[in-house]
Amino acid sequence: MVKVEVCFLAQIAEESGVRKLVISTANTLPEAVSEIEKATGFPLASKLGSGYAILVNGRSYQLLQSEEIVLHDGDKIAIIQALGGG
Amino acid sequence: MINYERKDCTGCRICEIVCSMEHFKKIHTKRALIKYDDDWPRVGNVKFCRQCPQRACMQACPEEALYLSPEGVVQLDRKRCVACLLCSAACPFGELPTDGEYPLFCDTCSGQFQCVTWCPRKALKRSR
Amino acid sequence: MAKIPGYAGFILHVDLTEQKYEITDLPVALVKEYIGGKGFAAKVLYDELPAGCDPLSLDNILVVACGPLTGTLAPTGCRSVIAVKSPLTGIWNDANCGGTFGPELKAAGFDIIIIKGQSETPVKLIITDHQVDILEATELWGLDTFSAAEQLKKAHGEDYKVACIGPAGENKVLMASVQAEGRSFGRGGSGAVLGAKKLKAIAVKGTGSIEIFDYEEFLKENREAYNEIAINPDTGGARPKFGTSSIYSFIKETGLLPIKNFQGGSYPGGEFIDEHKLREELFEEDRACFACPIACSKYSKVKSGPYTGKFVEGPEFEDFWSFGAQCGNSELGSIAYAEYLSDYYGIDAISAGNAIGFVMECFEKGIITEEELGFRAPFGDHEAMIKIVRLIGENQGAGQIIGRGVRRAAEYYGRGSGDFAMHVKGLELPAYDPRAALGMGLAYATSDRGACHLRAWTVGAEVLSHAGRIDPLETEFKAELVKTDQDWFSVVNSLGVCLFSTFALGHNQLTDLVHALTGIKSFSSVKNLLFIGEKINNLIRLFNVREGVTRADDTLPPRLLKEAHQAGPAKGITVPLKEMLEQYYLVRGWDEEGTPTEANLIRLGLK
Repeated sequence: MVKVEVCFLAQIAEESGVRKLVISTANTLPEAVSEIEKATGFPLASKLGSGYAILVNGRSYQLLQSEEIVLHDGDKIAIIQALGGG
Repeated sequence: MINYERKDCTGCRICEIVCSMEHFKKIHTKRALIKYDDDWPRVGNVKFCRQCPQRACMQACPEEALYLSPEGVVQLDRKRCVACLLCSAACPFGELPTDGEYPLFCDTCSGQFQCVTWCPRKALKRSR
Repeated sequence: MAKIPGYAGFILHVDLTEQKYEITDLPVALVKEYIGGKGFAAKVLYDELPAGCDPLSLDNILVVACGPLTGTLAPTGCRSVIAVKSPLTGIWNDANCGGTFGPELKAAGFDIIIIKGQSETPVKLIITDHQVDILEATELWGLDTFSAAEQLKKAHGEDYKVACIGPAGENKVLMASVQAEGRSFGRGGSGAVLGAKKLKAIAVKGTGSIEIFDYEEFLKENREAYNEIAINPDTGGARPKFGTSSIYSFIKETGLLPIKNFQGGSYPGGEFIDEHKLREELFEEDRACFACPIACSKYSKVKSGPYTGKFVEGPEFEDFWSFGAQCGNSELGSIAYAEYLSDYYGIDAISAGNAIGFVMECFEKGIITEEELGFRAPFGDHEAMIKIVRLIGENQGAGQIIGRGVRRAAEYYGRGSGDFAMHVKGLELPAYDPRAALGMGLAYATSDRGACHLRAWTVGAEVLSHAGRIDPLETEFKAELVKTDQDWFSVVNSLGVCLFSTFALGHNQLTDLVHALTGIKSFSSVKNLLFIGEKINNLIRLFNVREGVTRADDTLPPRLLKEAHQAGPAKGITVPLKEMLEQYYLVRGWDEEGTPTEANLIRLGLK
């Protein structure tokens, strides 16, 4: 089990009602997603891929091959949505 | 009638654009029956006839230039109007827009209420 | 000549030396080949500007141009362009502005204004439909942009829309902007060009109309476009709520936010700064540009701290960075006030903030002394930051050096500061550190006006890594991404809509809108519009090559090529520009010197 910091950015913080939280999870991303859903009630798994994404320590989960990601203590997970520049 | 909630308005002027398109089949915002006025550094205000049930304008008109259409819409008879703008002064919702001389009255776009349909923030809403 | 639907159909030519004007028809060929806006400006400047001219002399030409969608129902159809040879960079510059100025110009019956020559005394250009007056404006000279606009409206009518320069433009500060109804033609020093021409302001009132080719189709396409924008989580969610700073946390998380002149690290209070703070502490009202359902702009007021009571239309993401993290500054009120002062004096907030961060690094390294500045200026000192904004705006003291941009400031202060003068071709870098998204490095290096994030914005595609194929820290695909963005954005900047519309609307939607509006058959093809975008970019490249741009200028500041961050997502990365650049020239059809090849020019109809 590892402790990771989770933050919901911008609009998603509004949607989920959560900005930051720390969760205890098994060290895989699917487990972490499940823990996040339990802790916040936000249906994260179903949102992924439809404009919502996950960054682990600033890197996209799509790039990291989510099954292979190993989480460590102190890692930072950011839940973001596809956004444009300004 | 049409309600306007100023706190939801962003000053986008889409109401002006679609009003002019509905009436002239082109974009001609200066001839729209609804006008947005800036009030920098705050968001401003929209001027238009709400087609309200009170119709203070009709009572104020000295020339009997305002009448009701069969659908109950307040309309202006330009031939009788002398552009005194007493109707505008009497309106409880504020000044009416003018074409530089005569007051302009919303005609509900033949019941389509385009400004209400298109307002992105729903600052303009129907009520009855 | 029958008017083309969607266009005003006329060009206003102004000669400030002779104090005369002329109105000519808008040529159909120009419309079909260059669309409008940026495309019009590129063609005019390429054809008419004498190569090698001094940008602050009477030889420079200033073009104002609207697109077909400007001033129409098309969502975000508010934009116009000012193009000049930039006094800051010595090369092409086009600056894009929202708000209401462009739509008013269109309603007055002009698609383009071409301003040549130079007045001996300050003048103002008053446009009332096709009635044009060049009038004496000494009473306005010296006024800030807000007061100038207010006075002009008092004198001529409240329904005039005003584009004007402030003291910065009047003093030919190289990063001077043109302000228009609360929005900005910000970058590249077009304000200085107007100042050199002694044209204080353009005030326009338009009571005319814009024809629509296929009314029902145009209405239907708009309904769909408005719906797309409304349901999109960005344009219909995050952006209306947080403004342009909706991406702030995201940019921070991914290592893209440049800290303290791109040195990285942290600064006091930096960890608490985000888009939520802005919204909670500053925003009061949402403000939209003409025909825009997004309403990303905000009217803000500072409610606590040393800047209590200060107002700004903003803060924008770029300024939130340039007066924030770039200066190691977390005093929110000072960020709002610095942006307000940028509007007040009429200066580019990106260049100003970037330059102040540069000065702060120089100060901390002992390259600039307290004696030279007149005060201390370490990172995080917001009072120093405000002082420097004023000095730039007033062209006083050290502002006379700093206001000339970091390239010249580094030449002046010397002692190795050139290594961290963060500019490309003389234009200061905006709020993205390319070491965390290599495509932005290529974007900065190859943008037509110098380091710019609005010619190609590859951040989303890179960092979100669509389908897991694109890695922000790899060079693969970046050349294609940058070229495609540059070509499409040139179309968008020629159509007259805001780039933000593209976060919700696809190529097809914008194409359908302009086709329904104008009825021009060739505008119904995305492929053809992209072709025109590519043509515009190649024409501007020819302009730049003519002004002396070579491959050596398609580069990045030494810091980005040689220094790597010690921590974060971009740890250990420097930008491998060479391989991306070579790939870029290949996909562009340019030779190894970065010059468009003969074959390419023939294909594009430029030869």
